Amino acid sequence: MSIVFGIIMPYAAAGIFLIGVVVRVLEWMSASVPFRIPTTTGQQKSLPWIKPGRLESPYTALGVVGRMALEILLFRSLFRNSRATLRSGTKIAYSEEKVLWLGALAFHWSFLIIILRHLRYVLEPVPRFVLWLQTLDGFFQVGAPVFYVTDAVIMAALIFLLLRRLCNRQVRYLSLLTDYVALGLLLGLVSTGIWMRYVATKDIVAIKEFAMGLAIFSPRIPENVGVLFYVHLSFVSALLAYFPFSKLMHMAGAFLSPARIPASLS
Amino acid sequence: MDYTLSAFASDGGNFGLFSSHEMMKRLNAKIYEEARRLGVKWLIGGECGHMWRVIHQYMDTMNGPADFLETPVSPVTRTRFEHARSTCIVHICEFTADLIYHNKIKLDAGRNDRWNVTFHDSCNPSRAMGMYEEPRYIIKSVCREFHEMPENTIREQTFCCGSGSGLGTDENFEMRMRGGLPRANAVKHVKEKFGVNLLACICAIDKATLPPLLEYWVPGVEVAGVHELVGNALVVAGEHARNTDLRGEPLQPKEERAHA
Repeated sequence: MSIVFGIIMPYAAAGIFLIGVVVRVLEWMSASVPFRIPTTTGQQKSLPWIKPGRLESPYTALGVVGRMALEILLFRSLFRNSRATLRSGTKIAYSEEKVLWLGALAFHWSFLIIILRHLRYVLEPVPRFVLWLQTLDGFFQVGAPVFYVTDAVIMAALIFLLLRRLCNRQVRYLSLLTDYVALGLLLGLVSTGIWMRYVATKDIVAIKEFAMGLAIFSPRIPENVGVLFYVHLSFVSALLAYFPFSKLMHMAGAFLSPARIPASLS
Repeated sequence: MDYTLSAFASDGGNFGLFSSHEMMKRLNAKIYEEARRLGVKWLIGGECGHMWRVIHQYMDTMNGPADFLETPVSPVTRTRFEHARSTCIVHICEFTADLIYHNKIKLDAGRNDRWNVTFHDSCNPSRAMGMYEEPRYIIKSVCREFHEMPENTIREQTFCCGSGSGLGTDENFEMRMRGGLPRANAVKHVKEKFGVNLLACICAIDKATLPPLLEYWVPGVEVAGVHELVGNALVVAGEHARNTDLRGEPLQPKEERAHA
């Protein structure tokens, strides 16, 4: 049984993930984009005395890089969200809505930091930036093992994103099963990880041996890593295998968006 | 300035955009076809929304590059429209704004005094082109009363007219009234706050479909193209005394305006 869950499943999932992502990206890249169709959110470059929007309506390669960086690192388009509410009967008012942006930012950045932290399980010696991240993440030095800020942030962000789908009528109406599957997998993944770290602490050395074995393709089934570790690993595998077929592919798709990549030159 | 209007390619509006790319390409091809026949140097396009999406985003690939034309240079101001070097088509708002900026036309903004103006960013010129400042600059030069709608209802955050994409017919009336409600609501806000009575825009579909929308939600506000206001304000050398505006409505004589 441990061979199936400890060796076959992770490798199969990683294979599906790698091949799936590469195939889909190649598919997208080979699709023709004959037209220059950027969506602009700023003044075009036209007359010399009108100030153009360098990042909002970029007309240089550098401007496009800036716009993409803002979108990919800071989720600029979510930042623009607004909310319409009825006030005093028939008056519609629009206000800024930053909660989704904040939730998404909190989730994605925490997730990235947590993934980078996990590098300590597969690399020996552990790279300096990973140790550095770990120190920074455990800045508050509360408890033993040290409590990581990102663990709390990602949990809160995921719960918020789930509640948003459940409690907001309009969003619930728009939500499909796939939206919940991704959230469910991530919640399972994160909660088992947190449980292992703080509650049912496991033999870290054995886990590291096992993870390094997987990484250098000479897997060994470890002893005493516990059921919880396998549950955690199963969530990782499920997420990886599900990834190429799901909306999670926006990770790669963001870089290939024909409405953002071209400069406004025409 | 030596110009001509074509009867063959009289309309840049291109409903092929809403049906098929083959149709869009064929309708669009008429423009360069006619430019070639007439032997012009470059082109000016008018106030039409989706025409500009086609020109700005599709024309260069479909029927361009226009290597038989020249990079547009205004013969009046010598301004080179460098951004239009590939399609060689300049938006009339860019052209007029350039004229006004260089003081090449004489304007009497007082002739638009019956209007208290706000501006609607039509989806295509705003989100596909990024044309935000040019029409505003023109309006501010030809009108004395101009008020923006609230900030998160204009420019890149503009609202749907509810009637584009070929939905502008009266069969869709109810849907149009619903779709255009956010826009009408913002117009109502500036009408109550500043007494706005004219919604200016640079889109032919808007000019056709927004009047019923405003009549339904905000009675008392009319719709006009930006260049109608330019036409009202334009002072032509040696002109007869103007008693009416372009709608045939009487103009207040100058002396009365001074007292008002």
